Amino acid sequence: MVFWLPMKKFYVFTLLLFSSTHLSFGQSKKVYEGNYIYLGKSGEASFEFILNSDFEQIKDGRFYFQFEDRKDNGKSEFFKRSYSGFFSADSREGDWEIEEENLFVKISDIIDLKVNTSLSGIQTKILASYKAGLPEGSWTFQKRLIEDGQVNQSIQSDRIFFKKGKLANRLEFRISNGKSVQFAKGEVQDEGVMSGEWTLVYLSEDRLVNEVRNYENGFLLGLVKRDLKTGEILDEAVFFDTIEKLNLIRQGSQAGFRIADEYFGLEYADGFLSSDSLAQIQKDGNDFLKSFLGDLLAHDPNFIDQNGNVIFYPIHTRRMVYELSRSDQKMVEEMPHRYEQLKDLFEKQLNDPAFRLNRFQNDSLALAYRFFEVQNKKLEKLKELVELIKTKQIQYYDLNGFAGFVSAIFVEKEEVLVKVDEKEKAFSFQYPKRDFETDFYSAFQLSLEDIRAKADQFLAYSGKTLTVLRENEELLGLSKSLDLKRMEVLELYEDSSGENALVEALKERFLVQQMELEEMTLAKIEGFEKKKVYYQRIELLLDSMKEIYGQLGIWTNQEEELDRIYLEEIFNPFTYTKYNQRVKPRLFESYELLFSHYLTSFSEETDYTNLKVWISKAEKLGERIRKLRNEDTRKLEKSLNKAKTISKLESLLGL
Amino acid sequence: MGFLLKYKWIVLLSFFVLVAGNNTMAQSEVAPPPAKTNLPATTELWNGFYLKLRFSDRWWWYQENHYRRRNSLDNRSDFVGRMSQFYNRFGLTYMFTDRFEVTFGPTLVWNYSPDPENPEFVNSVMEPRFWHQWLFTDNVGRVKVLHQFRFEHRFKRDNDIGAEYKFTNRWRYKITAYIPLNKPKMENHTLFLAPSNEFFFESGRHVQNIFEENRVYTAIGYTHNQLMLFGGHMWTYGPTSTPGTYRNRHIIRLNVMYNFDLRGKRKPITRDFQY
Repeated sequence: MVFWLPMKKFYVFTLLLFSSTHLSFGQSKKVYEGNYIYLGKSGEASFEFILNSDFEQIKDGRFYFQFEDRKDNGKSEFFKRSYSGFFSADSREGDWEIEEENLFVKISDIIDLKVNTSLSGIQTKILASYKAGLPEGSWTFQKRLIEDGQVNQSIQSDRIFFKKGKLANRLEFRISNGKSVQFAKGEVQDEGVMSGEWTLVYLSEDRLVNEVRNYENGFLLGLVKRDLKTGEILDEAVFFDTIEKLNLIRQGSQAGFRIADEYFGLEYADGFLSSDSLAQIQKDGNDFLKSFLGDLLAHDPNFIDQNGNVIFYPIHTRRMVYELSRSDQKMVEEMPHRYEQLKDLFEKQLNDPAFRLNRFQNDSLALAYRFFEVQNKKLEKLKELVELIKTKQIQYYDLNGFAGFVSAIFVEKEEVLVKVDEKEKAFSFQYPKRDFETDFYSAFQLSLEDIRAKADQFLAYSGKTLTVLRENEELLGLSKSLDLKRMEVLELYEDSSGENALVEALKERFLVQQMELEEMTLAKIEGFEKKKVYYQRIELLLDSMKEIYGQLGIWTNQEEELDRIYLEEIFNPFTYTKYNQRVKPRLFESYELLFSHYLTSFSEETDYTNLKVWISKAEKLGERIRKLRNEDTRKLEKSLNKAKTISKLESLLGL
Repeated sequence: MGFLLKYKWIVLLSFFVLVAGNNTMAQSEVAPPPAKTNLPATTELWNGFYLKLRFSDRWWWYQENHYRRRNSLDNRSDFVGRMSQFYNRFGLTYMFTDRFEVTFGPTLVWNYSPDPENPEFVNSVMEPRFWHQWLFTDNVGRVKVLHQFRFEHRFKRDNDIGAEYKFTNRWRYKITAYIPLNKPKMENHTLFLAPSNEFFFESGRHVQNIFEENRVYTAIGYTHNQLMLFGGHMWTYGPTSTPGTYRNRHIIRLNVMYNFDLRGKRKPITRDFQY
């Protein structure tokens, strides 16, 4: 007993010790194998994981995922993607291998029980390296485009280096297809900043372009594009403003700007918008780089969104940041709001059916509508610039570059042309001169206010005038439905894409000119009942034009059909030859004469109510000629020989 | 007699040896070929009417009627001085395809006296024939080419009073080309050239020279609906019954061809057809 107690304690202690050690080893990794969704794809995975304090799975250790898909739609499509690597605390770590295959097999023929197939598709392989979830170290990339079982094009690079998720040292890749080689190479500083000379060779409009860019610490200084074959310079740009600013910074004499701490995308900009030539010249080369980087990063969650689209590139340019005074900062906050208010105002006015339909009621309404149209177009041109202001990105742009652009929009004297009663009148507007070079934001804001002031004057008048109409709900409803109908019928006629001259002529004559006349007349009508009747008249015009569109086929289809019916095949038994010959030639000639007369009258008709008459005549003529094909028409043909006029022909044919 | 019957084989053998010996002896005496003589050219005028009636998709009635004259005895160049032949050919044609047909039927020819004033000649003698032909057609670009193989089995006699009928077989091959001039192919209202050449071969017990005649014909024609007008100059060359003597003739031919479809109203068919 005395012995036992100490022993008992020993055993209990030992038991506790082992239990505790077992508890501490309870964080050992588990393995999951089975269905899994990874980066938006549902497949099979096998990986190690641990559970955190909330019992959530944290991937930690080896990881393997594979997704396969197969479709059969005329050709068999095979899709396979696999990821193999390691996780540490739910972040990618170490070496990773990513493979993707998207292959198509098409059966082209079966000869002597042998199946001839054609294989095409894409194969991609990426060897990546991570540290704490970010790309780190050397990567290799290979992509092969296969056509008819042969490798048609290959893209590869073993010179991709990352540091903390950004490109480092240099980037180099090649695309070869047996006929030509495209490539890109350039240096990258810390944080993925482009530096030094970048050389790109890419295909543009079926020719190889050699583009050389010169960067200094992320600032683009110059760019030259040459035709690689002929050496001809296709385009070039020197960013003089940037060079001057960098010189000032080097001398320490810059004022009002410095190099921004942030990093920016491939598109270099400093005081010019995306439509400017200095921005456009970069586009082809940037697209070439993005295409490669997009393929490289398509499987990395750091760079893609939930739909698998690349939204962030690990390569950067730099920009200057410009000082904003307190008053400027305030205007930057307010200006987008004022812009949007003004834009909404104009769009509301222009889309008001009552305003649009009645704009020709008098000069002032017509002028007001036209004024809103002109100002709306001006604001549209400023959209990109205002967006920069709204997002505060404007601080990275040299406003001196925009002064000229904005001045050309906010002019001092403006002429607006207005069509009233089929005559065009010109109206001039004066605006105060604003100095965009000295005080950009102030001048911009004031210009918006100038436009607003004028707009308010027009609104006061048009609002009052249109109130009567707006208040009358029935007319408003008619306006809306007429407007819808007008759009619907216009869309029908515009579907002809300008190829059918007859359709174009009808559209112009009735849906544009006639409609305009009707709207002008409508605008002048006083009194609800009379206006209503006129709305219905316009509706009738639109309904008629819609119906006529559906019947236009008669002008082509009928002639073809009857030409075919009135031909027969003749065999000459002496020369042993066959040829087509017109049956009842005189009867058919009469048909052609009448048909041509109806078509000409139809195309020249100015009264839309008569259009159906010509169509109906053509239909009756076709029916009659069709019927006469198999009848005895000898007497009729003799009479047709003597007929000289359209009316006589119609009478003889019983039309 | 008993001796002949007993030794009939020896007798027969001896007879054959004698006959053969005679023949060989006769053949050993080969006469030298006569010198070639070309007779002066003569002239003729042939007027023909050709008719083809279609009474089903494949069956046709074929007919030719010719009125032929030749030069006078004392004027070789007058073309029409004497009556030559009244010639009528009839037949049924089966058209296998547009490119191959077969025709067969009778021919009745009246051959007129070479010298109407001469009482030693019968004015006209009849020459009946049975004939059949194969006709193949082909295209070379826009030109139509016809290959006509015609065979005639005829009973013919001279106009001499008391002359007997002799049976001969005749093989003829004619190649004709139809070349359209004013249209891209042979169709309606087409002016065309139609050169042709025909070889005549003859065989029979009485025939010494298998080659009978060659006819070269250059014609011009025009198609107008169901009618075809066709005419031109033909030159013939061939041996006469006198060995070594050849004759040649210049013949003006004027033809009218007419075809008619008896099948009733044709339904309009327009399809891609081979020329």
